[in-house]
Order: sequence, then C-alpha cells, then structure tokens
Amino acid sequence: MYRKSLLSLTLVICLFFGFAAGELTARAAPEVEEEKVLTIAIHADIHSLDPAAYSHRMTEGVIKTMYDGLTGWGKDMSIQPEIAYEWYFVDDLTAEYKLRDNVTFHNGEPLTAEDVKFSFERVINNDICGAACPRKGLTGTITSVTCEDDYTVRFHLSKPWPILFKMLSHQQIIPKDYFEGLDPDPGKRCEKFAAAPVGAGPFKFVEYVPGTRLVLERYDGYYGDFPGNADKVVVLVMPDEASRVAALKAGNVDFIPEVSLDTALGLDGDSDVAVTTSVGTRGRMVEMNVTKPPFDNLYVRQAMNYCVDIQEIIDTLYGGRGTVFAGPLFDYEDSVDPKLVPYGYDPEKVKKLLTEAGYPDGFSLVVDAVPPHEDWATAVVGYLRECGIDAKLRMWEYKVIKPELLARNRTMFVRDWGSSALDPEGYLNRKLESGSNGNFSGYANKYFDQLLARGRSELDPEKRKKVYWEAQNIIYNEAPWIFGYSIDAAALYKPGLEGCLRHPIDYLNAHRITIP
Amino acid sequence: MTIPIMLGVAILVFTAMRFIPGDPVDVMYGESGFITEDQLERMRKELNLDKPFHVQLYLFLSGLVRGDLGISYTRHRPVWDLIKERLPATVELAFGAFIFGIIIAIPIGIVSAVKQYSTIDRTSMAAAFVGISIPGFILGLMLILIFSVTLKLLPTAGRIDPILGLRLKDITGLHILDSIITRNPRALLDSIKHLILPSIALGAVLAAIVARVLRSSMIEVLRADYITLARAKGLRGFIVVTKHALRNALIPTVTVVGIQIGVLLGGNMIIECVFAWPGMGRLAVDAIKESDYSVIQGVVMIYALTFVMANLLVDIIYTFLNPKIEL
Repeated sequence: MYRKSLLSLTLVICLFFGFAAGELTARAAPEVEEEKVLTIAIHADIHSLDPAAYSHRMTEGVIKTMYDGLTGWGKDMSIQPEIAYEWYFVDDLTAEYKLRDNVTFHNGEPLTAEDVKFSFERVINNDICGAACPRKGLTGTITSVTCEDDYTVRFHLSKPWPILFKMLSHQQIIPKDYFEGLDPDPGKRCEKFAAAPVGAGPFKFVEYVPGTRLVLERYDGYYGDFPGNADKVVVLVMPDEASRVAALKAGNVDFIPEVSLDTALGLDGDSDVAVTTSVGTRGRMVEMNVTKPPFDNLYVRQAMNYCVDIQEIIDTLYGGRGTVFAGPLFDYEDSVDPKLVPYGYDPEKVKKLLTEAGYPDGFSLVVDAVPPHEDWATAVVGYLRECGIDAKLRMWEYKVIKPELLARNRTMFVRDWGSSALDPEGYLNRKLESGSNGNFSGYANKYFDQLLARGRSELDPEKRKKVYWEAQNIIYNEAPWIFGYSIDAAALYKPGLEGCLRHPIDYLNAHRITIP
Repeated sequence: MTIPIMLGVAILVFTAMRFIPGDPVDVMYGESGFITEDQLERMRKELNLDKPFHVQLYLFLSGLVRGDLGISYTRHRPVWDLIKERLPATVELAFGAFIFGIIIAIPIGIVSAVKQYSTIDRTSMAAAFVGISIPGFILGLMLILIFSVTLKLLPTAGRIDPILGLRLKDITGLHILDSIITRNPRALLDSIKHLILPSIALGAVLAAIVARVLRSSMIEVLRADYITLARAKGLRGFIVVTKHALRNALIPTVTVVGIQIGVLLGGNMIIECVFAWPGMGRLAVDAIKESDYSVIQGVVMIYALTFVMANLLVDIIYTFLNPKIEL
C-alpha cells in the first residue's frame, strides 16, 4: 500500500513536470520582446526608495535613475544642471536656484518651487514621518527654504557654507501634493511613498522586489537629454562579484557599474567583457598615533613617509591604476596645493631621520588594518621591516578596533576614507580636526583647526583655496599619516553598449546608455 | 520545551549583540563627514540604545511576545516585514535542495549498502566525500561556469527572469507555486530553471550526508536476523530491501535529515549570495555588513525557531516510522 502511494506520487510529479515542460516549449518561442531592456547588476540592496530615508552611496546612485535633483554630479565631478539651470549666492547667507519651467513628475504634475521647498524641508527639519532623517547632516547650515516665485527657490543659512552647491547635488526632489495625498496620517506617508515612488528623473518606477530587483521604465515626459535607448531598466541585486561577472559573461547582465579593480584588471582582454575606469574617490592612508612614542616624534613620522614606496605598491598590486597623494588630499580636488610633491621612497633619509629621532636600531610595532586593505597593509609592513622596524600586521573587524583607535590605544592603522562632498570639508575635518571621531591619529593643532573653520565658511573660492593650501602644508610637514593613494574605480559592460561609465558617485546613468 | 528554548535564544542573541564593541549608530552613520553629534544622539534614542541594558532587553522581549522584532536601523522598516519578504525565497530554495538531496541520496545509500564494496559503492562514497568536503561557494561557482557561462543552459542568478517576474502575481511568495496557481507555464519553467543550480549547490551536502548515513544503517539492518528470515521465506530481494530493511534504516536517516532541514533553511547564506537568491541568508549577510543589529537578532530568532521546529518534525516522523516510539 505504502509503495503504491509512493509510486503514484512519483508518477503524478513526473507527469506534471512533463506537461509543464511540453507546454512551455510550445509557447516559449513565438513571444519576442521588442522593447530594449537594460539589465544592470549591483552588489548590495538599496536601502530605501524614499530619497530622504537613506545614507548609502550606492542607493543614491541607483535612485538617481528615477529622481533628479536641483543639480547633479558630472562624471568629472563637476556640478551639472538638472532641475535648476542657474544657481548663485545672493549674499553670504542666501543662495538662489532658478528652476526650469518644463519639468514634470512621473505622475504628470508640474514641478515647482513648492516641491523643492517641501523636499528639502523634510531633510532640514530632520523628520521623516516621525523618525530622524539620515541625510540631515548633508544640509549643513541651511535653516529654511523659501519660494520667491513658482520657479525660484532660496536657501537661507545660519552661517556661510561654501560647499552648499556641491552638497545640494546629493538631494532629490519629490512631488509635494502626491506625497501628502498618500495618507491622511502623516506617519504613514513615507512607507507608502517608498512603495510607490514618484520622481522627475529619466525613468519611472515599475516594481521593486527587496533584495532582488528594481524595474523602471522610460519616462516619455522627461525634460532633459535622453541620449540612450533603454525602454526598461532592470537593476538586479547580486552580492557576489564572481557571480556578477559570470552573469555578464553568460549574457544575463549588460552592465556592472562597480567592480573591484583586481577583477577588472583580470578581465582586461576578455572579448566577452569591456572595462571602463575612473579616478577613485576614496583615499587610502596609514594613520600614526601622534600622542605616543614613537610617532610623537616628527622625524619618525617623516621617516615613515620616506620608508614606504607608494608608487611601487600601486604598480605591483593595482597595475599602476592609481594616484599617489602629496599630502592628505586627492590631486583632482580644486583645493589641492599643486606645489606639494609626494615624499617619495628614500631609505637613506629614513636611516638619517630615525637616527636623529633616537631610534637608530628601529623599534617594534604592530600595524593594524581592516579588510579589504590586507594586501597593501602587508606591503607596508614589508617596507617597514626593510627600514629596520620590527613590524607585524594584525587584521581587525572595523567596529571592534574603532573604539580602540579613538582611545589612542593603537599605534599605526591602515584604512581608507571618502567624502561625499569631494571637498576638503567633510574629509580633513573628519580625519584631522582635534577631537573628531574619525581622527585616529590623535592629531591636534589649534591653528590647523582655525584654518579648517575658515575654510568651512569662506565663500571666495580663491581665498578658500589659499586657506586649504596652508592647512595642507601644515599636515604635509607634520606628517600624522603616511600619505597614501587612491586606486581607480572600475565598471564592466557588455561589448557593444555605448555610454557605460564608472561614475564617481555611483550614478548608473542608464538614460545615457545605448543598447545595440 | 520550545518556548523556554526560544526565550533562551532571544536572551542569548540580544546579550551577544550588546557585547559587540562599538556603538552601532556610530558605525553606521558616524563615518559621514557631515553627521552631527545631535543627530547621532537622536538616532540612539530612537533605537533605545540610550537606555540601560536591562531596559533594552525588557523592551526587546516584550516586543517579541507581540511579534514585534523591532525596526531595521538602515532600512527604516519593521524587521518582521523584511523577514516576511525573504522567507518564501529561502523556503523555496530549501525545498529544492531537499528534493535534490533526497532523490540523489536514497537510491545511492540503498545501492551502496546492498552492493557493499562494489565499484558503485566505492564511487558513490567517494562522491559523497567530495560532496561533504567541497565548499558551497566553490561548487556554486563551478556550476555557474559550466551550466550558465559555457553551456548557457541555465540562468546564473536570481529566482525568475525580471520581466516574467513582473507578470507573475505574488500570492504565496513561492514562485513555483504561484506559477501553478496562476497557470503561468513560462514563469513555472523559468522559476524551475533558476532553482536548479542553487538547489544542487545547497543540496549536495545533504545528499552526501544522507547517502552515507543511510548506507551504514542499511548495512546494519541488512545483517539483522529478521532480514535473514525474510530472505529464507523466499521473498524477493527488492521487497526485502524496500519493505523490511529501508523502513527501519530510515529512523537514523530521518534524524540527520531533520537537522539538515535546519541547515538548509539557516545555513544558506553563502549559496544565496553566490546565486543572488533573495532569501533570509542574504538579508542576514547584508545586516551583518551594515551592523543592522535588529535585523541580525530577528533573523537569528527565525533560524533558531526553524531548528526547533525541524526537531519537532523529526519526533513526529519517528512515531510514523516506528509506532513503538511515543512523543
């Protein structure tokens, strides 16, 4: 009896799948998709489709496909017009944006100054349906927003804020009337908006399956340039890099906007894959604890900079695809002092400086690092040993070591740092200002802090540049870090596609991609 | 026992999370060059991190009793909602892996026991050894390379083609079942195609373990007196093996399968990442990366519940296989 039941069940399953497969083979062939679908694979799920409810760079890159801001970031990290066509400071405490009058949201409503005011007030008031807004810090000293007319918006500041135009490029605009009409209860509107988002970007929302995919379709009423030809965009979440590459090679994916440089270099010459790169936006450095021996001694810190051959590290580990820093800043930032040159590798100077510092025979040292920096941290340790320093590498989980670093219990730390402003503000203040919680070297210099404070509020670009040049020179000479480098960022795409690029802010730029 | 075990797990998980050094709000948002201390303070308050440990534990447990697992720090949504979205994918994959594992393991286990030390036996057991030893992500990538990249027979990742997915009505969240209910054969075939490789990668260990256990218990049973008696009575070999031996040999096998069901549902993080399978394993990995403690707690609770329920299921099946055993 038992055997009979088992056999019957097996038979039913076989018949069912046989039928299904037969039916499918018969039906699958004739249906041909005429629309152009662009499939993009990203490495992590997006945090929210509400542009006020995330603090995650990749989320910004993806949702920019649906939302436009007043301005956006160009591939050369310049500010590009989007909804606004003109922007300027009216006075030290007021900035004005002129809006285009032909912008509509995906629901057909025209975009006016009221929508801009509403979108920014959600962030400035630090209230997204009762919760704190994770993007509040990106609005700096803005206290209020006013509409001068239907297409003119003013931002009022408590203090001058020179990076306002850069920072506002990170915010997106949503329709006020649509949002407020979603639910009579203001506490429920955010969730409903995130489930059915409406923006004014080149693509409109179709479907989001968390952890799986975001599907968008071309918005025919888009006001801006749309040089690409994608009718639909499918953004797939694929966390494993090898799987993303396999999907591209198998033809299941068209574009991978972010991939490690190692992988990209390994695929150079592969006919199934095209590689594109851009300059990286994260600086890598070795921070030295200046509050304790041996790095409380200036000569030792300078010696460390001569001891590590950064160019050789870039050449060996990253195929030469990177840039050595002369001081703490990226060489593409407009505030970088062009007169500074990298310390360079010079073992003779190391010996001399260590002897002058009272360490002719070197010293013992544990170098701490966090993933994914093990490879170049190992190289740093190798160089230190060559300089006569008994160095060992210890890898950590970042959240475990961070309190130790802030308590100044560690000696030397290898990691990277980035800033969404692509400006000294947000980078130097976080890493080197006295008492900042990203300042792992313990560096403290009152005059340097004053310079940062001046840079934070100086609106004249030339004067501001000079302030940061002076600040950089102080750091360059006092050397609280072994000044590092940035490696290029890479993206992969199917050969034949046009317009794919590795955007510095992770924008997908799907409306600029042409599918053959 | 289920309730005390779950309570113990809840307290253990909560306590362990609080012993992790560092402030989760600082780890998540403190890196921003533009976050203020006031904002960090407000977030700590919203997440109850400003309260003493025992108050936090009380709030967590009282929420748990009401089915409230808290709010995700990074996604600003209830943890239970996130888990509900991911659970069907994990269940579907576990089911696929289970079917694959059992279909492979039972015939191999029986044949290896009956033909002990034969070429089939040695080959099968060598394959089982490889199946246990090979890491899931290696097997997964090998399968992708062979069947997707080279032969282009099966998709590399995901649960369904996105365009077909758009047209598939979500009823149960289980794509195969939804395709059958809505009579959508294209979606059904596509879902099955997507399920094959991850099921093999996840089910390989189950197949290997079950085949080995079944073989050894079958060998033991086949030496028992009542089997000799059955043979002496002139019963056919097939009947002796399937009717008399297999049923008894299945008891230790069911124990192993029960534990493995827990592993299939809770140990699939790597396979879900390799195949971009949007299940709970992926949710857990993302939460760990982003230090989203409330999601980690929630997922671990569900995993614990899965193991407890799998063990309960095993006990029930015992009584079915051997009525002498009582619950």
